[in-house]
Amino acid sequence: MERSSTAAHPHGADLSGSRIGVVGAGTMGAGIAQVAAWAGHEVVLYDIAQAFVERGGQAIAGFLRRGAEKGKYTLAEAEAALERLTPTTDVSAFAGCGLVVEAAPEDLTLKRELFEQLEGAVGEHAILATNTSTLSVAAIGAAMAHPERLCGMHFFNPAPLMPLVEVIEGPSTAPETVAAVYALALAWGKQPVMAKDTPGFIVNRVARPFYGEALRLVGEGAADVATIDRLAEDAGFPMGPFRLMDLIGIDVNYAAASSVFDGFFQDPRFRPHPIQRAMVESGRLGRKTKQGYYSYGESSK
Amino acid sequence: MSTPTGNETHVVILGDREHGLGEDLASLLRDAGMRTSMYDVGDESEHDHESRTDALTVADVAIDLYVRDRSRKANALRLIDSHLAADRPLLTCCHAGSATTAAAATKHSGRVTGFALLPPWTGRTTVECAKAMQTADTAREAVEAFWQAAGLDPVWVGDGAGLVLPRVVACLANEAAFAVMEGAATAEDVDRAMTLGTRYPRGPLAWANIIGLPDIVATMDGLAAEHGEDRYRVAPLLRRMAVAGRKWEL
Ligand SMILES: NC(=O)c1ccc[n+]([C@@H]2O[C@H](COP(=O)([O-])OP(=O)(O)OC[C@H]3O[C@@H](n4cnc5c(N)ncnc54)[C@H](O)[C@@H]3O)[C@@H](O)[C@H]2O)c1
Repeated sequence: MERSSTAAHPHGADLSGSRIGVVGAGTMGAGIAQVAAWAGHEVVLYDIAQAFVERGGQAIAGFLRRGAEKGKYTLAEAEAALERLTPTTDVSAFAGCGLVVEAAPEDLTLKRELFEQLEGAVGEHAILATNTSTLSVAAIGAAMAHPERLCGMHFFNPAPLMPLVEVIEGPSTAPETVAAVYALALAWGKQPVMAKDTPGFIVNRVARPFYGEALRLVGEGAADVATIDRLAEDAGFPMGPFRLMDLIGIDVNYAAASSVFDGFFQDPRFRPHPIQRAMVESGRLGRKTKQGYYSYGESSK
Repeated sequence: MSTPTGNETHVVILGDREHGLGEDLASLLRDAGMRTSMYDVGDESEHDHESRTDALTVADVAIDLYVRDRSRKANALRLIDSHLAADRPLLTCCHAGSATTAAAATKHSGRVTGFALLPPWTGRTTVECAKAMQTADTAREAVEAFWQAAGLDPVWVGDGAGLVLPRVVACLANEAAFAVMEGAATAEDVDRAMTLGTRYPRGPLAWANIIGLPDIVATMDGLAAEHGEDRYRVAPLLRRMAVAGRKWEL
């Protein structure tokens, strides 16, 4: 590995006080932008269309104002955080950013092109991070001139509330890059962990058997969904595997399972279950369709 | 089959003396007012043999609690089978193998049922129960009454190695061990990520420490034997740690 080019950002280690860029103003991007603005950073929030940036901005404003109404902080504090937020549809607005976090759709080609574009837009010391859940940092940075300044910064949904951030070190990532992002996550009140660039990183990989074995038990006819959930909840899991899949979205959970399975070259430990596919194909996706492993109110089916 | 409940119920547990499961179960049953004694078939003196046999002869219920040690489990099943009165229930711990396999090692197989109780038990209200293929229909009632008297709600599930929770949690702990072995993250970060990112009651490695690494290995080996699938292979690091008597440093 060529490490000499790592010197591209010798001062990159301290991001406190830096302007932060966020790419994509969807669920995760808006959440991350909110976290950064709340922590006192100037934040540039970018999306491809004005309507999308505005929607993201409104989501943040709504979230912060609700918190103020509940008395968690003052409305003035919420408004001050919102003041620090600059919406844009122009990547050149990232010019002065110390860090840009990408939270665009989970599509390798799209992310690759984005990072090439971002490299041209930011200064030479800027750090770039991706919030990808399932793609490899190595693959995303493959077309970059300086992949040593790219790492993963994997937040969990909802980003303002979930304390965990997986900081992902790709094969080309410089130690200074992960150190800076790790320190920043801590400064944002998060609880970061370090992980290597392997499929599913930590949580999306290690959690697989919770769903996979539960599905197999049902498939084998050993127990029904409600029984397994009851046993799991009795053992201290806040939600049994089926109630949890219904909440996450059976399609989302199935996509995560499939991606880790592919990432490990079809290692049977990660094989998804036919029940998952059948649920997705029949449109029973969990709470959002009112029908999953359980029924919720009026069924759409 | 007789229904053993109330204060005069005499329970004999055969299990690994070193293993936390035995004392935990014994105190659970004592708290429920049952006379409970525990023996380890590994104790070899003449006196040990005699007191075990005597206790089994008068017992109302006998429990085989072995998980990791197959030869002791076989030994315990044989002892219970020959000394416990034929109409009394034999409960076998299914953390590493099915009730059917255990029952097949006995002559009075109709009274054998399986159970699983994954540590830690504090606050637990349920116990997993499983009928072996050989279990007589009449056995179920007696076993239900016994667990209810112990303060646990029996939940019947299909027979198999690890039943439900020991199986699911062993697979989580095994996957966490693979992740550490492969350097995906440190043991400490794996457990921290899992508790923060999923709200599991504890990290899979901390849980493995409580259950005992050799028991996790035994559950995985039991699943591998039953299913014949690579899916259940034990992470080599986990197996080495279990053999070396190590725990995860978290
Ligand atoms: N939703 C989750 O629970 C979650 C959790 C962790 C990580 N992630 C990851 O975060 C990323 C974003 O996920 P999300 O759930 O926020 O998606 P989303 O669909 O809510 O948001 C994506 C946003 O990106 C915008 N976008 C589309 N094309 C773009 C482009 N070329 N450049 C910039 N922006 C573009 C979209 O308009 C949209 O606003 C994905 O990589 C996903 O895997 C999601």
